[in-house]
Amino acid sequence: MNDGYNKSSTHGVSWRWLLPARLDEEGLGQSVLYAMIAGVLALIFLSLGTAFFNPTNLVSVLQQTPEFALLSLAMGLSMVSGGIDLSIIAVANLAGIFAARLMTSEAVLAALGQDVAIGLACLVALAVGVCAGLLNGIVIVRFGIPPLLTTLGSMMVFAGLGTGLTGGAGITGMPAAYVDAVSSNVFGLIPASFCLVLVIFVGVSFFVNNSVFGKSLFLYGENKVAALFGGLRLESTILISYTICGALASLAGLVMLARFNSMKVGFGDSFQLEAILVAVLAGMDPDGGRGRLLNILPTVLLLQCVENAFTIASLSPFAKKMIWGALLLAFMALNFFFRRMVVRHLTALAVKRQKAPLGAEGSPLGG
Amino acid sequence: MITRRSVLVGGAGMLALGSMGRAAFGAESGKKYEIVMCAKQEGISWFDDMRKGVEQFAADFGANAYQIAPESGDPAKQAQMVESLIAKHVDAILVVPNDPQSIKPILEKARKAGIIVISHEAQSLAGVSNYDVEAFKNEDFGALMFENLAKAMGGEGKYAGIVGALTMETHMQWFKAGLEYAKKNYPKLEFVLSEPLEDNNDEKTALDKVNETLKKYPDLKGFFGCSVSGSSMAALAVEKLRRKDIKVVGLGLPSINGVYLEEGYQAEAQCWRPADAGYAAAYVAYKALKGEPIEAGIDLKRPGYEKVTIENGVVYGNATLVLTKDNYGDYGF
Repeated sequence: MNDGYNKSSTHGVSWRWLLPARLDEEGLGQSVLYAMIAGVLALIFLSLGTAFFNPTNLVSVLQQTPEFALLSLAMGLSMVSGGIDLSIIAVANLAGIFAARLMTSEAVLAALGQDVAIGLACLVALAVGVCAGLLNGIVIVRFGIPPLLTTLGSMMVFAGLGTGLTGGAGITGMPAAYVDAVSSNVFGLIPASFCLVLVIFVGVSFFVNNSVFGKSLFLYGENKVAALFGGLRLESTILISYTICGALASLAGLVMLARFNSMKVGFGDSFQLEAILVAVLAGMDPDGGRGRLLNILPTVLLLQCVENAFTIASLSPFAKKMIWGALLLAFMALNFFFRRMVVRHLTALAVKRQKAPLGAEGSPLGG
Repeated sequence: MITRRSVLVGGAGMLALGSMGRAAFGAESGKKYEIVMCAKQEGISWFDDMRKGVEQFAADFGANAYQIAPESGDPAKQAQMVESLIAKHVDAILVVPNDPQSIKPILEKARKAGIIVISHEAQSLAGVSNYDVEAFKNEDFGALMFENLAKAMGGEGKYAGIVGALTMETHMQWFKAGLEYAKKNYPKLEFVLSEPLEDNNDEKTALDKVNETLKKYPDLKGFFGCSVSGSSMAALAVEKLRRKDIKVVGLGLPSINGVYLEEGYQAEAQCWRPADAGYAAAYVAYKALKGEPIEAGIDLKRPGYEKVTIENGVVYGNATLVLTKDNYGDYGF
C-alpha cells in the first residue's frame, strides 16, 4: 500500500486519502464500483431493512441471477476487443430450443434413456452456441464487417431460425430430472446454477487474464494498429473471443430452459440492453482494452438486488424509472469525476518528477 | 487508515439507523392482506385500466393490493418479478402471464410457499394456480361475435374473417364456436374461406390480407376480426373503400376501434373490462385468504361477475363488454 506514490502524497492536497491504494484508472473504477455497491446496499437496507435482507430473499436474488450474469459476461467479453455481441439473446434462445427439442422428443428419450438424452441435449446446445459464435467471429474477421452490424444481422438470422424451428410457439415439458438438477441447491442453500456461474466467471476471467489469447485480446482492444504491428495472431484471437461469447450465451439458454421449463424465441429479450449496461457499469470500456471481467459478477448482483428491492418496495413504475436513471447517471458522473481527478494528479506528479532532478522544490499542485 | 475507520464507523451508523427505520416501519403496517397483481406489461392502456380495478379493490376492502409489471412484455422478466414476490412472501399473487408455460414452475413454487395464486387469461394454468379467473367462456364470446355479425348483415350474405394465428388457442375457440353458432342459426350466411386469415397481431399484415380478400370477393358483406389488429384494419380497409355495406365486427378496444365505431365503419366491437377482471381476480384471492368458500354463484361485486360459474378450477364471469358508437367513450382503455 505504501508505494512511492502514496508517500509523495503526504505533502499534497487533503482529498488524497479519498483515493484508492492502487492509483491507476482501472483500480479507481473498481473502487468507485464497490463504493457504489456499498452505498446502494446501505440505501436498500435503510429503506427496506429485513424485508430485503432476509435469507429467503437473498437466496431468491441468487436464483434470479445466473442467466443474466452469463449473458453479461458474454457481452463484457465482446467489449474487451472493442466489439459488441448483440446476438447473445438470440443464440441463447436458439441453443435452448435445440436442447428443448431433444429433451422432449419421445424418440430420443426412448433410444438413449433420459440421462443420456439430457446430456446430449446440453452438448448440442453448447455446440449450437459455439457454432453461432464462430459464425459471428468468421464474418467479423474475414469480411471486416464491424461487430455491431455483424451481430445485429446474425441476431435476426438466429431469431428467424428459432422461429422457423418452433413456429413461434414455446416448447415445454422438460424432464423433471433436468429442471431439478439445475434448480437444486448446494448445501441446501446456494442455488446450483449460481455455483456454476461462479465457476465460469472465475474460469473465464482466469483464462483471459493469464493466457496469450487474453493478453492479445486486451492489446487488440487497446490499440488495433499496434497489435497488428506487434505480430499478434489477431484473427484467431477474435474468433476465440466470439466463440466463447456464443458458448456463454448457450449456457444462459440452458439455465433459462430449466428455470422456465420451456423455451421460446424472445425469452429474455430485456436482458439485451441490461447486459450492455452491466458491462459498462462494471468498468468494461466499450472502446475496448480496459476492464476486469470478474467485476461483472458483483455488478449483476447489484442490479438484481435493486430490481428485487423495487419489487419489494412496490414502487410505482415512474419512481422506478427515475431511480434507475438517477443511479446510472450518478455512477457515470462519479466515475468520470474521479477519473479526471486521477489523470490530473498523475500529470502533476509526472511534472514534479521531471522537475526534481533540476533541483525544483515544492509541490507542483501549488500546495 | 482513516478510510477504514470511517468506513467502519459509517457502517455501524447505517446499521443503527436502519434498525430504527425498520422499527418505525413495522409499527405502522398492521395486518393487511398483501395482494399483488403482476400484469403483462407496464405503460399500456389495457393494464393501466386493470390497475384502477386493483386499486379500487384495495380501497373497498382495506387490503394492501397493488399492481406491478415488467417494463417490456418479456416472460423472463415477469417470472423474476413473481419470484421476488415469493421471496417477499406476499399473501396472494395475481398474474396475467405473458407466457403461461414459462411461468408455470414459478407459480408452482409460489403455491409450495403457501401463497394464493390467481391467474387471468390463462386457462391452461388452472390447477397450477388456485383459480383462473376469466371474464367469459370463450365459446359464448365467439357465439356473441357471430350473432352480432349476422344481425348487422341482416342474416344473410358472404363473410370472411381474420384471427391472430391459427395456433392461437383463444382466437380459434372464438372462431370455431362462432362458426358453429352461425351455421345453426343463420343458414343463409356463408363463410367464404376454408380457414380464417392470419395477421400475427400485426396491423400491416392485417391490412394487406383484408384488402386482398376484399378484392377477391367483391360481394363480401361481412368481416370479423378475432384480433384487435384484424378488426381495426378491416374497418380501415372498409373506410378507404367507403363501403358501409360491409359490416365489421370483432375484438376491439375503445381507444383503437372507437374512431371506426363513431364513423360507422365498424358495427360493434367486443372485449372485457380489464379493471373489472383485476378487481374480480383480487376478490377471489381475498376470499381464498379469508377461507370463504369459492363456489358457483358467488358475487364478485363487478358488472358481469355477479353470478360466476366455476368449472375445473376456472372462474367464469359473464362480462363481455359490447362496444358501440354510444358507449365506447365511457371507457379509457
